[in-house]
Amino acid sequence: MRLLATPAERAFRDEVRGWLVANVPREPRPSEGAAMRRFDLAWQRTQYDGGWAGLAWPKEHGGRGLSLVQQLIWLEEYVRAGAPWIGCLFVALNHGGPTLIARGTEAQKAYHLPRILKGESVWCQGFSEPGAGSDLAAVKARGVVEGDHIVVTGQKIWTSFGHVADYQELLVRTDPASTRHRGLSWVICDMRAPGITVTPIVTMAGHVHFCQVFYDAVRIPIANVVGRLNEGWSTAMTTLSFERGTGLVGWQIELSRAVERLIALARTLLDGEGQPLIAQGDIAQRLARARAETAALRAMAYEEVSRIDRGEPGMGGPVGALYYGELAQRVHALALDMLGADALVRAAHGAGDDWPTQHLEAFRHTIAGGTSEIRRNIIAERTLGLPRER
Amino acid sequence: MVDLVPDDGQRQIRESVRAFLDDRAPIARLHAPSSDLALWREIGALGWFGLGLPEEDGGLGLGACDEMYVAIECGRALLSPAFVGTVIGARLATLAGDATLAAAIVAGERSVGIGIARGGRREDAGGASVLLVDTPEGSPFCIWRPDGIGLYPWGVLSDVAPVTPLDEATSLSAAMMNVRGAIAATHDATLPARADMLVSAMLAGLADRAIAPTVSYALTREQFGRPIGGFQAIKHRCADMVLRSTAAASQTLFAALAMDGGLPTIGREASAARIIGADAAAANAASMVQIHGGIGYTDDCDAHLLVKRAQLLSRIGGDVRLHERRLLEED
Repeated sequence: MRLLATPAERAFRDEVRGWLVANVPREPRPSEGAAMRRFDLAWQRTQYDGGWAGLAWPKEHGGRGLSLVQQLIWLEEYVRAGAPWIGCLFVALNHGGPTLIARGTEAQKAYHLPRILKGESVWCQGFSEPGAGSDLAAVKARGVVEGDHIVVTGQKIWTSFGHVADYQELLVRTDPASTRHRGLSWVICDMRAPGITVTPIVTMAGHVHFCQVFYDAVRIPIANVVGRLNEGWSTAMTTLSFERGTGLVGWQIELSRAVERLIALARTLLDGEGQPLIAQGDIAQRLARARAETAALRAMAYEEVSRIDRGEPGMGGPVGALYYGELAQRVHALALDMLGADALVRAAHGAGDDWPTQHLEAFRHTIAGGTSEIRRNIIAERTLGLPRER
Repeated sequence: MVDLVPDDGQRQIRESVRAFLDDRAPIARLHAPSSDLALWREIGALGWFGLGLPEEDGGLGLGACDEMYVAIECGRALLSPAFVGTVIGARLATLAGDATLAAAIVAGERSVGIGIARGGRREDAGGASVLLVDTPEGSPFCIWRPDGIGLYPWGVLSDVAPVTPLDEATSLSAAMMNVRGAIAATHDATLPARADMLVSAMLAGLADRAIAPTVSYALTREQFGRPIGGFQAIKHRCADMVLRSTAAASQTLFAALAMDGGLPTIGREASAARIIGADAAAANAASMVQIHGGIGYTDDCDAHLLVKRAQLLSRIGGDVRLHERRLLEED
């Protein structure tokens, strides 16, 4: 067991830091639409040209093949350098690409993987439906096999970046007689195919982040099935398992830094009596707890990475994700309580911390990728062996 | 850069400590009058009190992480917090150059109790008012805050009077103490942080201990024709117990690793571990009561033992409020 870096790890950190300082974009990331897509793709191209694309991907597929510890160092330096969020390339780099690597055909890999790495294609996810959210196995979107095509009719929802995506990892029911987990297929859907309608959804923070996608007899080549026809559940589970590991570390570093900025703010902001906010007992207590809890989150995230690195079982279900989501909401609620009347004013884009907007955005962390309720069910059922819901 | 997985040696330590405590200190012992100090020589012979002490000082020369795994198991068994007093007391006696006392402590021949400073009461202005935990007459004791720690002889005490403890599984006395009579004392923050890390480990162990019997009860107790563990209201409480004990154990491990690595942040890591650990222990003990329902409120159920021990451990070496203030001190 250790926390200290080896000389090789220190050298790697120096290399990463040097490259990031020289290459991180100076301008703020646009939050919307085509400008956002252009920005995210250009930043990905810069990373590709610098040899920093697909850090976790194996080398034979064009990735960098970094160890988990090296990925951790990259993430820490990435956040420290103020590098932009992965943005609309999240699904391509962290879900779609890795799923193709694990389950794709040679043709699928040869076509898509280089495009993803070079920042030439944006992917989105088409799993959730109006009637299949937490209960993903209730997918209804229909895929009828007609010759060498699958004809898809139905609806998907909560499709992040669907409005700017080129491809979608789409889960459809290809066996009409099937129920639940059986009879689904995971296919690559071209978002420009005839019959697709994308309707943006505005979030409570006022952003277009996700969409509804409607499919009216959309023809998808059967060659686009990833994994086996009617065995898409297994492919989908491969996809979701990529969220394990370093994903939480990135979120944790961001949140820890937000807490540090809040503590600094509390030392400078004055209350109505001219005293620094940090002199107020309740504010000080909540800040101290936030610091302790982000420390615990970091310990959990690093412990999980260590276990995966050693090929050991994880820490007992989605404990890290559950802890993070609820902690992030407490931290951002505290920020608003500290701001007083200024909590009512949203900052201009790119003008430093916009705590009111971040407070609104934090609501997603206990819903997206598994609600807190589902996560508690999973911990209770899989870790503790309590009776299953169904 | 990081590796937070125990090695084979650490797993063996943990398993052997658990096996010993399951056999010699089952929770059931706490339902009748007894004192864990009767086990001290046996534990001393196993080397637990000198685990982290350098070999030239009569210890085993292992690290903070090894010591932490032992403390977690002691917390699970609700072993007397004098465990921490004894481990830290051996270090302080060594620091004072009293090799004879250190050897007696490591061997378990001398137990070291715990002193807890009572709030600043006006009438106590002439000395410090303390509570003594598992400190039999004549025994030394340790008392600390994040910025200082001392090993004191029984002789610094006056007006010692037994009081009725909230945690009946331990003995408790009130006394006045002369703070200038230490056997050894230091204002270096390293040793208080180590003591706090060990208390956190006991808190994390206690938080973990609450889970298995609670889940087992939820699986067997039936109402409305099904095990109560099938209801989400119960399942989610149980999941939260896992969440809290995981956070407490992880942060304690991180603090211990920071100590082994000699990082400058050990005080802060230890305070964070104390806060997270205190929450986990108290909340998991409370969940154990709640999920057991009426049984949970009875003397027969183990749950109250955990509730009381969580309160005691949380106050050793400074309470949660103190550690919260410590975490906001400027660098």
